[in-house]
Amino acid sequence: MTSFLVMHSAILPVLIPFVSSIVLLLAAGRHPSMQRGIAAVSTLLLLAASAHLLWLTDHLPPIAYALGEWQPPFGIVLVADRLAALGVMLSAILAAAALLYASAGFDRKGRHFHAIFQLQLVGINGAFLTGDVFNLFVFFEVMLLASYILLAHGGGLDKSRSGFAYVTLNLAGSAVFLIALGLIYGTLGTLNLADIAIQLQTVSSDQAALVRLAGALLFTVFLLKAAVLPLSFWLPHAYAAAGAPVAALFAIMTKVGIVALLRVETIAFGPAAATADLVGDWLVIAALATIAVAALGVLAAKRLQTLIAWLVLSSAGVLLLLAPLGEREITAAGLYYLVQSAIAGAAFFLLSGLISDARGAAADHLSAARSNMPVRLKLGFLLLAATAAGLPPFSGFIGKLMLLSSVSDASMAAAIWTVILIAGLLTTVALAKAGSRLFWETPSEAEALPPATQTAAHWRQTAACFGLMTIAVLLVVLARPLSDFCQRTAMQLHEPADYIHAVIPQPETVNRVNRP
Amino acid sequence: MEAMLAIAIGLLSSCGVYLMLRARTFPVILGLTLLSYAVNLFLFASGRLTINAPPIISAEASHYTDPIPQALVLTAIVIGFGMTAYIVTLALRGLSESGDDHVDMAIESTEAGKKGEAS
Repeated sequence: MTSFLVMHSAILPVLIPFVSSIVLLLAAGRHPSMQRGIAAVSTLLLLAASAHLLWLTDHLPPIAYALGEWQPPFGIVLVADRLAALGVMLSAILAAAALLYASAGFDRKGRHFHAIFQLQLVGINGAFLTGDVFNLFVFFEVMLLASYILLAHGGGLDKSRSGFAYVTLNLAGSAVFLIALGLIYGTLGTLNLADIAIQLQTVSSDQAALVRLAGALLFTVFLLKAAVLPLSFWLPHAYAAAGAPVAALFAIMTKVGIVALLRVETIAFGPAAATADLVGDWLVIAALATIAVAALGVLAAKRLQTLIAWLVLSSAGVLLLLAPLGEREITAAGLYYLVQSAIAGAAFFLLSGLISDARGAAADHLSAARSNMPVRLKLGFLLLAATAAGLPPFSGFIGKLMLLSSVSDASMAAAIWTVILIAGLLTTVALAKAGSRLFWETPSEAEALPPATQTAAHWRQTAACFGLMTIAVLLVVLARPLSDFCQRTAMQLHEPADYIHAVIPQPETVNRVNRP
Repeated sequence: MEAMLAIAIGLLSSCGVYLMLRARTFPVILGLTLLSYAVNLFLFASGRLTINAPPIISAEASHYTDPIPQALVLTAIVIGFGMTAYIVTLALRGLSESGDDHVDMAIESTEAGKKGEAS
């Protein structure tokens, strides 16, 4: 039994939500509590499987899982290394919180919420675990298709309008992705990531230009998913229109793009001479521009959820610095920042939902409203705002400190320090303004809104939000073990030979037929 | 044959991009469809063009065509089909909720569009 679990550990995070999503579709007409029960069991199993995988990958070299025993580079392969396990763990935690929050009533606003939610997890976990770029495309599509439906969940013109733009943009992105895959297959004859790394070492000079083009297109798609400027304008609209629990789960979706970029760059394109300089200073500049624009967006936001969406964008900008700077220390610091920003961002979206409910008609608009806000929401806002702005002693501060001290030797360090610190200052100002508007300002008689129909928060909503906040605080207490793990993850990421060896132990014995 | 395919792909994708940049939902969807046709042809060509050759092993065959791109294209077609169906429903929903088929997100600008049409 134990060996069975170890053997199949790499596919369980994809399989568990997939099976439960099918079961949930079959149980569509049943009582909502039954659907919630199935979804809860599935998410708990997913948490257990992710924790197990995290533990396994920390003690073992990367685990390659060949589906149907078709040996790579032929057939489909999943690879679980520390980065993949970290991503899967993070998505399981966010999913558990979002599901708990949604189970208080949001899930009944439309049909099939739970089934689609599990399908979304299939896509996210698959994108972290897949070992070849075509299945990366497939899992991206699964993730996006589910996210389109979740985004529209609950209805409203706002949601169908922003949904249309979001879907169109991502479909165009998929087209570019497929062109990149066609170019890679046409030149290298493989789509397996480890095999791409091997083939890139010996690519002929007349093919090199096409391979570089393919790499550039591939990175463009990842940057679209990660929402780097100028491909980032979809994010605030889409995330601000989504329901609170959906937005909380979406907090990890930009991270999927960054992890995919990091993986493809460190394993395949970075080490090869032909494509080594594809990711360079231009990405640092784009990332810094993203951070700067996101800080302005935070200042200009008129709704709390829009503001948080801009904060997510800002953290995506910080994380984009990882790929071009490409040093172990920086990657490790960035991975800590990734974990803490995802958790804090998701908690903030859930808190915004709670605040919006407590304010009745004023919802989360940053305007005065009469309401009796519970003290716990105010304290929660204080904690998350300080985390997002990077003030001590919260996890945002530790993440930024580690990142800034690790980049001090990099080229452009002065620019990076300046932009991140000024953006932090602007974020602090904006959040202070937003907080005082939301909690302290009372409306004058003339502009007073009609008596608000306040909805009392369900215990599940409060538990989900404050559970995530507890984890955010735990990230401070457990900063040492987590950053040690991030160090080990970064070490593994910068030793691509282990990954390649795990997938294709003997590249010279692979039987390659000469292609026409 | 290669030249014909290349021209077809180029024509389809340029028409697709042009239509995608329009302000109404129907041309945008049509543009996406044309673009996905172009991409599917491109993917198909990535395995080189081979005529009159089977993709699976058989005793009589002297040479083969690469089966992988065909499988990839099949996957891409299925995904693209599902996506198109979804975006059509989304566009129809936006149409029935707001009464116009503008792509823009800002509701003020669509109202301005209505006034412009009325005058």
